[in-house]
Amino acid sequence: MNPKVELELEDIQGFIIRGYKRMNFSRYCLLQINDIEKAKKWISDTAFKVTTCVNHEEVNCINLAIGYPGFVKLGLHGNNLDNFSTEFRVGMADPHTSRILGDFGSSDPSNWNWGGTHNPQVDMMLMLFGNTQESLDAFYNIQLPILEAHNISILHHLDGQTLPENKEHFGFRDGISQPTIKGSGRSGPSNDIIEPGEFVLGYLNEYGVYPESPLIEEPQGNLNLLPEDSDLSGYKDLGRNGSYLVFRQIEQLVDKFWSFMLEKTASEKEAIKLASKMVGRWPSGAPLVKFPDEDPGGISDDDEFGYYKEDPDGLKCPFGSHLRRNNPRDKFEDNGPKKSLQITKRHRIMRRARLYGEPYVGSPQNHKPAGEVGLQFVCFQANIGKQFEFLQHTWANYPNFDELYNDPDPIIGTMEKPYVGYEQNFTIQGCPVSKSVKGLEPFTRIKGGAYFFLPGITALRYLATL
Amino acid sequence: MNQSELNVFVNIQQGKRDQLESVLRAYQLEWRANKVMPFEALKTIHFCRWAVIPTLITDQGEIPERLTFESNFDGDSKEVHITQLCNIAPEMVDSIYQYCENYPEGEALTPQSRAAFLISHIHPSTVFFAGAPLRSLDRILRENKLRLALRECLNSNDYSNLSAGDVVVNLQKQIRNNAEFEWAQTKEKVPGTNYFKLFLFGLVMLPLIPFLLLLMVLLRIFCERKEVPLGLEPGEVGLEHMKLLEQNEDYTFQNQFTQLLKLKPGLLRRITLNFVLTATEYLGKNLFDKGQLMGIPTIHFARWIILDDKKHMLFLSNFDGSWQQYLGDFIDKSGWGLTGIYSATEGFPKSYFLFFGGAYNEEQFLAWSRYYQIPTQFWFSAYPNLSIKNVINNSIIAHDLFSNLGEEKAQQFLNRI
Repeated sequence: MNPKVELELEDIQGFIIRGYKRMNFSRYCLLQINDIEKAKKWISDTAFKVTTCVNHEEVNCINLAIGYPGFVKLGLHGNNLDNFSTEFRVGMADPHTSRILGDFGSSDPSNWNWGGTHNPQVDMMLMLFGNTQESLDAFYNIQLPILEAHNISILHHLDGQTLPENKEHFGFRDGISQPTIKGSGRSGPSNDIIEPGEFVLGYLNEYGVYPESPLIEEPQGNLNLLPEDSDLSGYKDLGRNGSYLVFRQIEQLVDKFWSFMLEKTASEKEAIKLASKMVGRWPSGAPLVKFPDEDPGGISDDDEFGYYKEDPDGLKCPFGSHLRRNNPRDKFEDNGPKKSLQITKRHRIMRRARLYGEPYVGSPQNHKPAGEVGLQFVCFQANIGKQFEFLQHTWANYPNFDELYNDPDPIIGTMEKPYVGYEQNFTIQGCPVSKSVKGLEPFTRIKGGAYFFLPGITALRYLATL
Repeated sequence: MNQSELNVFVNIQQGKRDQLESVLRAYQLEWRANKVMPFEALKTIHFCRWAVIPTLITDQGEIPERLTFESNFDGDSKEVHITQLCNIAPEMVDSIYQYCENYPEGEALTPQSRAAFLISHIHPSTVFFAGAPLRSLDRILRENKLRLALRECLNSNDYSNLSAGDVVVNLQKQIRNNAEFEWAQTKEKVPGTNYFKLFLFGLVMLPLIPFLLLLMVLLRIFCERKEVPLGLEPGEVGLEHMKLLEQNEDYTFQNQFTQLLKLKPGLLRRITLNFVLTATEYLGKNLFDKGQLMGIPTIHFARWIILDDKKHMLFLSNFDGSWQQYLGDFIDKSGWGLTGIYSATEGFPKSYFLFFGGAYNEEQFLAWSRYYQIPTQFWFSAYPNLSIKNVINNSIIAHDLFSNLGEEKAQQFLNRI
């Protein structure tokens, strides 16, 4: 479609392209602007410090995301604000968004710790990273007086980390399958190389068009700083080299998860197998398609597989498993492999999850962490509606996914109170017959969340000139 | 049992639109709260909706606000359907139509006049598509119960050492012993592709191909270059409008779509639209009869209604999943078909040679689709927990259960449950 893409890597914030593997510790600071002029000065200073795709820091990384309320406060004109996507403008706590995301009951935005309907608006998010806890703390302590001097308050901060084997709290190796952005200089499985416009604005996407971007239609600020709209509208493009950032704080109910698996099976070994069937990989990360019966152990990053030839009937990796439905690869519904892959590629996200709470690797023997544990789930995309929201709604929450009837995503798609007429099952395809595991309960709970935008470096500098 | 479509268009009394809308919304809240709607007792309505069509301005003047009622029902006669509806839910009908012009009141309001009023405002659909034709509501619900019963058998018995064929024999025995499923031993009709009619279609189309190609070229020369697309991106559709639409979306995993379109003037566009719609109607009935309309696997019922002396077109559909999913499917599976139809409507993204461009301009197509969508005040589904794929699959299960299946077919059958 678009063989030679040149990404302007020096203008793109690094966290979009890289997971900062060596930065095991992170602190996300939710910020409130109290003095607009001082905040602009701070943004302009910070723009020069932000980690880009070409910096390779060893000790600390820093990135800056702006929320919709932040853009409003900074004085972006109404007509310019209107060019942000509808999903971004209405936000994650909007009632319709909650219906799409399934944020009901204890996950309802009225119960959130931050970003919800009863919490103060989040204007910006400063993301700090360190290779050790000490370096992160030191880095944070440098930022504190600077923020204070610019009259920016920290509403809330969220500490995260990654565990050595990249396991999440349920005990599974996480973050294995990531799309590779064409032109980013990174490498990955050949069937998961995606047009940059699916993640970064200003470039062509998998439909061969430019994703909707916040253009400056009403002239304001120093427009010389901004690039032209790639789509040749004649307007300057605030969005170029930026990406929409979705942030969900997801509590993991580890005890409930493993107790459920143990209750539904006769042994610890079977409990692990059931949990793995629900996840779609073994705790080691090994894919079920290649190891349908037992975990080979060790750690695995194996991502070179499909479903079309290997497992068309879901006998190895069930159709309803978390991984298969959120990334159906080359077998989606009754489409051929090429068409399936095309559809899959239009709904990919770049995941950047980190853990919070006691570092804990759950298992059938070990499932009572001290206090709340969970994921700080962050993902990047060019279109929140078509990517994150679509995945959560249509591929995760939707119980009739593909040919299923009553099967929401067992890990992230169940509800406390399902809609009338629905049970919540997990079907394990088998030969001669498939079996359903009934009465799924939510193993996760949403504690907070918001949509942000991660602007390009020049766009950050431009914001300071409003 | 045949499924049929009904449209009733009536003018709303001046100044009564707000009251009417609030009555409809109140019914909608009741349905969402799982209250049984009065018309459900008929057991013949699969989907229905009421939507207010705003005042429209044309060259010949203003067309006042109208209320449209859509139903997808079992039976052949619209008159019988209306009469039954009026008899079973007279209060509901009155509470809505009292705000409409010429609705009988006082002593003039009788069971006969009530039905006669609605009958006199019937408007035919230009194209009607049913994803799972021939299934009555009763049959859809019955077949779903059968599948659930079979599912229970699979869950509660240990079949692991049996062959697929033996499992099926065991299932047959269990169902035979269950009086509730006596009906399942008689096969009901499942639509099959009508190859003879498709052959006829090909025969008619073949000599028309040069004509179609000529049309495509003429469109390119005389229409497409001058036509002005809406040119908006999705975010520019307007937050207020979006909120109005989303207000009545995603309360279940099915949704409605009501789109009011203005047809482009000119003979050339009119001829092509007729041509494409006729083909859609024909293929919809004879080829796309297994739950897929041009490859889109989520539509239960859809219809196109040409209105107002060919000035407007209304598109109504009842579909699975969210709007985002539905419209994405449109582009992924059938962008050309949509472009063939909708390039005859104003504001559609620029088409090339009738079938190209258009819907494939993803961002503009999504914006166009939302821009011309109008809010639906009341919408009802009789089986919100069944996807069209489920409905079709259930029929195949019911059909095959007592068939003689070989081992391979028996395994395929078991995979469906």
